[in-house]
Amino acid sequence: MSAAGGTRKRRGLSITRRTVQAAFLAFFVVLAFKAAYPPLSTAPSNTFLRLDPLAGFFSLLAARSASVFIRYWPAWILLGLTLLGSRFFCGWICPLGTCFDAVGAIKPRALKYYGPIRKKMKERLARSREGTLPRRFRIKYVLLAVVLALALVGVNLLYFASPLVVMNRSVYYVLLPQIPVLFLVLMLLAFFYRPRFWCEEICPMGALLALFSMEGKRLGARLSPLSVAKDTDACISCGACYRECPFGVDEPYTRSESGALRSADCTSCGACVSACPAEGALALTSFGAKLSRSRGSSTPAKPGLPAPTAPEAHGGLTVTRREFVGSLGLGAVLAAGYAVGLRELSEPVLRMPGAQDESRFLAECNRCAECTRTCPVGCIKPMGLEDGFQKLWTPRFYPRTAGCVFDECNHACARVCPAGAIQYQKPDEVKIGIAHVNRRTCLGYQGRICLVCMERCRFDAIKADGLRPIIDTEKCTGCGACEQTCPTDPSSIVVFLAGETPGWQSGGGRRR
Amino acid sequence: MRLDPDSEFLFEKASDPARGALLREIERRDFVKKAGRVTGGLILAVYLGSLASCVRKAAPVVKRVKPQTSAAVPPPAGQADLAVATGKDAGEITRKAVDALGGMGRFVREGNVVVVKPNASFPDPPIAGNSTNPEVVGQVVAMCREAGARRVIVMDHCLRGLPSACFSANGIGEAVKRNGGEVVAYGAGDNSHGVDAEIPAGVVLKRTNVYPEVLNADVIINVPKAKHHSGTGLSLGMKNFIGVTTQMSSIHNNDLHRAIADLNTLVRADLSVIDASIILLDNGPGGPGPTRAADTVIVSTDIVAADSYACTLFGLTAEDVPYVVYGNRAGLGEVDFNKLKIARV
Repeated sequence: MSAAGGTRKRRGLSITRRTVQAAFLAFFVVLAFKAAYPPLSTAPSNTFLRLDPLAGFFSLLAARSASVFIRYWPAWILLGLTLLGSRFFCGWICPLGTCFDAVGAIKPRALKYYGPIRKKMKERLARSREGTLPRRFRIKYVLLAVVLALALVGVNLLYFASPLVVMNRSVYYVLLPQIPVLFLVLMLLAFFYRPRFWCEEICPMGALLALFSMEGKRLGARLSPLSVAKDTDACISCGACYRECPFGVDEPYTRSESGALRSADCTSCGACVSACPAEGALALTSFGAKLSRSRGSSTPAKPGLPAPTAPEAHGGLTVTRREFVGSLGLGAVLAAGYAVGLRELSEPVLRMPGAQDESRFLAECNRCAECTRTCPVGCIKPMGLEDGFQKLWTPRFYPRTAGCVFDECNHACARVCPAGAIQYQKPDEVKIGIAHVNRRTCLGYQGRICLVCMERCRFDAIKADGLRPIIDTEKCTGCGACEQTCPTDPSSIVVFLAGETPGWQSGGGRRR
Repeated sequence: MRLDPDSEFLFEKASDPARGALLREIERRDFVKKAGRVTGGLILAVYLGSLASCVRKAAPVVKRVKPQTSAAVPPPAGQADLAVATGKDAGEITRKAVDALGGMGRFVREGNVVVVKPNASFPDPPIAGNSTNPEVVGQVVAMCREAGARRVIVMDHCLRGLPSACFSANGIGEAVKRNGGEVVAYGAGDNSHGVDAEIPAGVVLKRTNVYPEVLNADVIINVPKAKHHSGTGLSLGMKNFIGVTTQMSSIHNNDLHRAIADLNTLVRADLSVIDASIILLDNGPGGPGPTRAADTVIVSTDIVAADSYACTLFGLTAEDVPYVVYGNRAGLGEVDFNKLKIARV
């Protein structure tokens, strides 16, 4: 939309950006599809998920090992580029951001009531000149601090904190098919509130990228892979840039000197460049070269105000160091309180082979649902809240649904896991648990003919003593094929973690 | 949320304050209406979507498996009812035995869809003696194709590991494809494909759920493995049909022998080809256990007689394998194979 109002023109830059966004979204969805069994073995389907620096930090905090650092190489490249420029990931790559933009695009114009108001814009410019513009506090930095502090105590909140994980889970749910509730809620909010409210106000990964981009903003446009530069001489201060910015960044409007924008929330999406009616006032630059500059409008808008003349530079940063340190402290307090309540809940549950020990698994698993998606027999399902909040959406092995076929799928879940929560194991190393027979309900122990468990066991771990199955605990891998097929309800043969006792006599038998 | 009435588009329109107030009212009402419509539409769409997924799950209840073609065709006069072929080459003796019954053309007509049900439950090579010899299955498929079958579907549910891996490990998948058949492999307990079926003649099993292939077949050829079974004594032709149901549990939760006989009243084989080339003698049905090279293939239109004859290879009689006797009582065939005309080749 141009400043003159009325015509809504698609400029070359915005078409380019939409194309790039759509391409990345398509790439992301294709990779999510490719995670289905058999997963790609040469180009791991989870590369995109490892583009997430927040997940990288999570794993580093949880695992403290060099291999994790190497595993997240895409994230460090992204972070490096962000450090030099802006959070361009949000404007150009993020698949969730693309969905928000799409929702924003289909929204009828009559519903767009949220744009900045001309009266207030004038006021804003005036106060910016005086240097009395109040800094807007954004919750995302606190959330980032909380999320990182929780990472220190081994609580992984990436399923909400990382847009890539949110998106991956949503794709998984759509394919199931189930309703991706979180995704729909976000999209409805985007539709009725503002398209990019999440990215601007809440997204902790966006906050991380914004913080990193802050340092790079001091370096100048020459080093920046992507940034927006302003030429104050050409600016007519009409405010079109501010009104068009999906992140509500006012810097191109209020900034009083030429050069690259410094706002931490600028994603270099170029919406302002497309909207600018003054020729050459704004430009999208890459390493000092202008990729695209504002072309001006056929119907130039009237200048709303005289060009700003304030001498002092306006940084446009949305968080101060003090605020960030403060939020870190707050996060630490919250985390401490949370962790105290978590201790008793972190008892191990039955997971897929190669799952790290429980506390580390909970810290490293980012609940992206890749393993659930790839399992050829569907024996892995995300947990609900039955075992506490900490285990929400972590993948659990349900042998009654299907037995694990680790020896035949070549440990597909370990191969797709982007976080290293599942370590690849050779088939002869696998010991998920041990099957136990409930002699009070087993048909064989009632003198009836069955032995289906023995038929199903491919490790020769069940022997027949007459009609009664006997488990060879050495050979049993805990694959659960027996539990899946046991004709009795509930199953009379149940896989327990090694070291667990079934407690049938005491009426137990509930597996953790 | 900023619900400031001075929002941009109103700012442009409402220059007169009084008119502006009116406009604001109208615009707000419009907005609420539109928002309501959109929300309603979304809720409706989600609801319809969930309904659609429920509808898809309901499967039709099938009363009876389609009667097989050859049941109506009387055998040629003087034709043997049971053929026993012995020899080292399992494929060759299979062909000899079927030829001794008048050839596959007697059972398979031009353009028929044939379902071949081997015992492909285990991912082990033929030497283990727990799955049907791939050469026997391959030869049956080849003979069906020669007789003009349009499609030959070889189906089983696999007990150990992934179905596709199972069919390649025991060699049956490869043998079938080489001879022009198709493999349909299910995982045991996978009841997402099954169709409900009633068993009118059932004594203990009144209802079950079977894979759709057997319902749509013109001809069903049973190609079981003769082997030891820790539960039932021996696993033979009648027991092989457990592999056409999706509900192993309901079969085993009943009196297993009677349930097998009941199931056989629902799914009838036009021809049974029992592979006894290498027989598993103990620790069945999966093994590992001792094996013996019996080098025999038994072919019959009478599933009970074929099973009864196969018992003798283990030094047993049909009395030791109750489901064969129940099959006889249910009128599925003759338990005393000496009453039949036997061709030995």
